[in-house]
Amino acid sequence: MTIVVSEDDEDADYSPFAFLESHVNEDVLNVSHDYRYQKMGYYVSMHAELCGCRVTPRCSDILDTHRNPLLMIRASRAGIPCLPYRLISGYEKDLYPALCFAVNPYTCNSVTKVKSESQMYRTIKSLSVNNRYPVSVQPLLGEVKEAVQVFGETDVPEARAIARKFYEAFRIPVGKLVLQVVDGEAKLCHFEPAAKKEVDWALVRERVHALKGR
Amino acid sequence: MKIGCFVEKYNFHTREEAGTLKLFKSTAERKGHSFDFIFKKDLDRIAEYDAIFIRATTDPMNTAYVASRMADALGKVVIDDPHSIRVCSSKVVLDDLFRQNSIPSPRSLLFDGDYDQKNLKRIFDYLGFPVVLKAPYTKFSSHVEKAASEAEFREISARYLRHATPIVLQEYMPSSFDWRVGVLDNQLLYLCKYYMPKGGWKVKSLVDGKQQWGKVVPIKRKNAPRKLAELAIKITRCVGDGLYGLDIKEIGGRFFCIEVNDNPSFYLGQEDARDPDLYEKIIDRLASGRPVKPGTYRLNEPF
Repeated sequence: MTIVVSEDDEDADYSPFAFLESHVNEDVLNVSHDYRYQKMGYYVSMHAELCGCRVTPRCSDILDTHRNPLLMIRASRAGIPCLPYRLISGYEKDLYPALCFAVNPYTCNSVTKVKSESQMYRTIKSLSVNNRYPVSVQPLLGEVKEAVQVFGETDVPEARAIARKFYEAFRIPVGKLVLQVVDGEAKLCHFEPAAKKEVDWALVRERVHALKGR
Repeated sequence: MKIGCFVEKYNFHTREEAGTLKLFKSTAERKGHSFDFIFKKDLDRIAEYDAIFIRATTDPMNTAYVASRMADALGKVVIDDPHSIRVCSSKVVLDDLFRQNSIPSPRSLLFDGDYDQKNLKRIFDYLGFPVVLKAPYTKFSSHVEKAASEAEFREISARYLRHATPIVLQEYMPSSFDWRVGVLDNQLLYLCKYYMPKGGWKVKSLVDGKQQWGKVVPIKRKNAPRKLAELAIKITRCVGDGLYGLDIKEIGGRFFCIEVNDNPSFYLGQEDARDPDLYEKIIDRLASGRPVKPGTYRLNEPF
């Protein structure tokens, strides 16, 4: 038996808040468009884990996927093609063209393409919150694509294989993948929450029904 | 053994904290280990070390968590381990942990912003006034406030809910001090009384417009009240066998856990005053090669 906790009322056995006040001991599927730390999506998984339940997604997977260097370490180990990254904590010369990501937890939608030295200076200053946090810098080598994945599926053709592997490795039901297509091959660069309106909720429902029916 | 100590610049701002960091280093070196301070610019060097000791403020929001998780992923001994950080950094999670394990603590409720009169009545009937509001990410008594009326409750909760949902509401338990119980490896490491400053109700309180800390009274760990020691060990067995600092109130001979800190502070002449062997014990634990294990509830770790 799998309990579905979802912000989408049509599907849910529990709304997120009702779930936090309950005690369950079945498997839990936690559907949310935003699993960031201190958001309801995170607390649902944490509560399930504290109840001793098997939950999708797990807290450790949530936190790893939302911090770029941890995502990159684990994705590479899972056989997902990734681009190399460097962590820097202050401006450095000659790093552009690059794709930069905040490693601070506050900045959402931090993906920034940098094509000049002055832009790099401003970007590092901003994403590091004045050098308080590291910034992950990857080489900008190809076309940057964003793909919202739902249970490992996406309608962006270049991202399909990565979306499937990403879901197998991390079990995050909903979220946005950022990748670069380099010489025809897609490489994972980053993961972040999808905006609620970007998610195909009809597809989410279809997948949830299929999983519940098993 | 090569030990890396993850710090940020602010860890050296006070003489007392810088002094303890120096003592950790000299203790490690006396025992034949190397001990380097590593900063966020050195994150890529974590692989070079056998053990990582996190001293910068931990929270999944902070770089210290990334350092801890990277070390853990690379198979290093790490104190604080990421599991302990995840559990102890959030007051919402701790509240849940106390409930699940029948840990005596102040009565509490979660609040997600439902201001319906019926819900507010339920809250105020259960917790009474004043009610204590805690943002999940509170550190060093910040983001913990008391509301003496519904109007104050609405103002404070709305402010906290802008950054996190849900928040924790607690009954107010006045006391002149909190016990601070240091625990390592599920054994008492040190003991202190953290007093509230005169005119304040938290260890760090706003008194006459100024943030003030109360005094710290160290006590030998062997003199810990038995019930206090038993409660502290019971709680850490739920969390893990790492290093923790527990805040516990004593009211009428009974003990109530307020919170568990995964990264307890050390200030020269305070926590170490009666049991100075804590440096050696922590270094030995780091050098043991034995990873910190999660406590009694299940959390599936990847890798």
